[in-house]
Amino acid sequence: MIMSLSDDDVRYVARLARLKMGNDELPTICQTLNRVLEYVSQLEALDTAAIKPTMHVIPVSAPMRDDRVRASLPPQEALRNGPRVAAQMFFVPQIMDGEGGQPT
Amino acid sequence: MTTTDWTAGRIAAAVRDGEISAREVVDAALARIERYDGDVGAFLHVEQSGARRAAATVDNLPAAQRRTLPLAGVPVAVKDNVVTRDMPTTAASRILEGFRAPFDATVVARLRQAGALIVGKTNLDEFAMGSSTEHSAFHPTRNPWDLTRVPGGSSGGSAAAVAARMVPLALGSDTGGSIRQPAAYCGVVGMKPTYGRVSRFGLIAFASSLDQIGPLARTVADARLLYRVIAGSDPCDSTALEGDAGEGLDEAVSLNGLRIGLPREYFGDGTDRRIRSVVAHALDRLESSGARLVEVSLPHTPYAISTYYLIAMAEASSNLSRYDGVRYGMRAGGRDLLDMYETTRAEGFGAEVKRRILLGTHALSAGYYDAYYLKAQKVRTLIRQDFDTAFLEVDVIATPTTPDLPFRLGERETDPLQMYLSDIFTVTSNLAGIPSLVVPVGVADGLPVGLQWMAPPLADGRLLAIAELCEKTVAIEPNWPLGGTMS
Repeated sequence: MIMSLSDDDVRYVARLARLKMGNDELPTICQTLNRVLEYVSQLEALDTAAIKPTMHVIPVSAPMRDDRVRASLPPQEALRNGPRVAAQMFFVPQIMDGEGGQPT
Repeated sequence: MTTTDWTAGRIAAAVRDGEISAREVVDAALARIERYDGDVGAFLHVEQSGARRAAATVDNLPAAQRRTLPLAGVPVAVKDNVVTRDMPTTAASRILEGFRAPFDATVVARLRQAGALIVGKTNLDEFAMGSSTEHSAFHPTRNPWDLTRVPGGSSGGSAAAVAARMVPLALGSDTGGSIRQPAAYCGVVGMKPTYGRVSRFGLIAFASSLDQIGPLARTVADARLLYRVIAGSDPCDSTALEGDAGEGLDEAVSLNGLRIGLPREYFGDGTDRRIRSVVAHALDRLESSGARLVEVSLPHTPYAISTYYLIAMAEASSNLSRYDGVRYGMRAGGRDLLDMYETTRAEGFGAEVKRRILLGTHALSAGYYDAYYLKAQKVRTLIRQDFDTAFLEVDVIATPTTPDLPFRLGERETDPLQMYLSDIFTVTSNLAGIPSLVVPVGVADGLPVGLQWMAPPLADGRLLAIAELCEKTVAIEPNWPLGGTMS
């Protein structure tokens, strides 16, 4: 059952999507989303009770390869795009109160 | 005639035989980019030194080794959602500004091994979400035929670079038409291979059940040359199909008795009459050369846009969750971790990307999954079955590529739904996983028109052979004049 989204619904979805949204943006976004949702509600007209979903469009079996030890990226290469990196770790803002949490 | 007018096949043959050096070829390509890309804006990054180094490597090879290279000295442009180790990769998003991938995508590694010279990264709609290349965070790309118009999208930079003869070949990616629609708008050949035929290791994921990398070129033979290099299984991508990707690539096809299906749902009044007229003319030519035109029906076509956007947005919301300001790209400030995530994503993503993430998150959220994503996956089955049924009656399907000629920059920015609806003829190939290819077949009011061909799954070779016959029969010159001052 497809229903239109309220401002609060959009705020909730934005939180789920980890997107900060200003109150000034809400009305336009809400209106656009509802327009798209109204359009896609056309699918309700189709009876799909007996139809299997397409999860893989081309039949595939899991390809197997030999389990061989291979070279992998050195840590400094793998970390080099992190905005804040030290001691082979990604640093993030503090999550809990207390001492430490700063790179040395 | 300079090498920028040559096909990739001719360049590779001349470099292999030592008639010209890869250095001369790359210098000519870079000079043309320098001269015209200020107007066109096809590139986000031009890699002069890397391309010249690659040229020197090809030129310094022993002749016997150089002769084995299928793309010896051929300049190639790569869409900027395909990662490259020695150049930036941004997917045209602020959130990836400054990102340098620590590895090459499999397709890029295969290009290098084949002797290609990667001259740079081309513009796109941010994360390949769009049909005009106006939704790039950096700058729009303009159509070389008419600089006031869009080149299509999302592979608009690649299509424009090939059309403006900056490069003979480019890589694009196609989730719902992102290779084929810009190919039609820019008057070049663009191919979306069968889902799984080309490795996606190193392609920045948009919608994983739909995404596919493919070639853009000025001739079908060149598209085949590039496809042959990039296709095939890959231990780094478990969705890349096993088996011989080269099978059937040299298949001979005759127009005589070839059954071309024309789906009635694709030939309605909704398409610009100038496009209908060019397409009808091309089909007439094919029929008088022996092909049989057969009307078929793909009855679930009216549901394709809804199905496509629900699936694409749901998968995008999941794929784009990795951009969190921690591991790569930009980080905005924030009081705490959650605030940092939310601020980084709000500042890093553009409006269209946010719109799709929100819709996709909603479609996957508790209580809505069945009504949206699962429902769309079921309708996807119906759309696939339409094609299965049609291909019992015909060998190949031909349709217009787009309902409209290239539109003007800014004309559609205010109405996202209108932009989505214009993808109606291209999204079905992605939903069905089938190979699909666009060939230019004429000009209307100075703007190019492309005919779209669709074939059964894995019939990529046959599709290329049919498209090549179409190209010969409808007689489009590979170097037909471009608009403006770029002729």
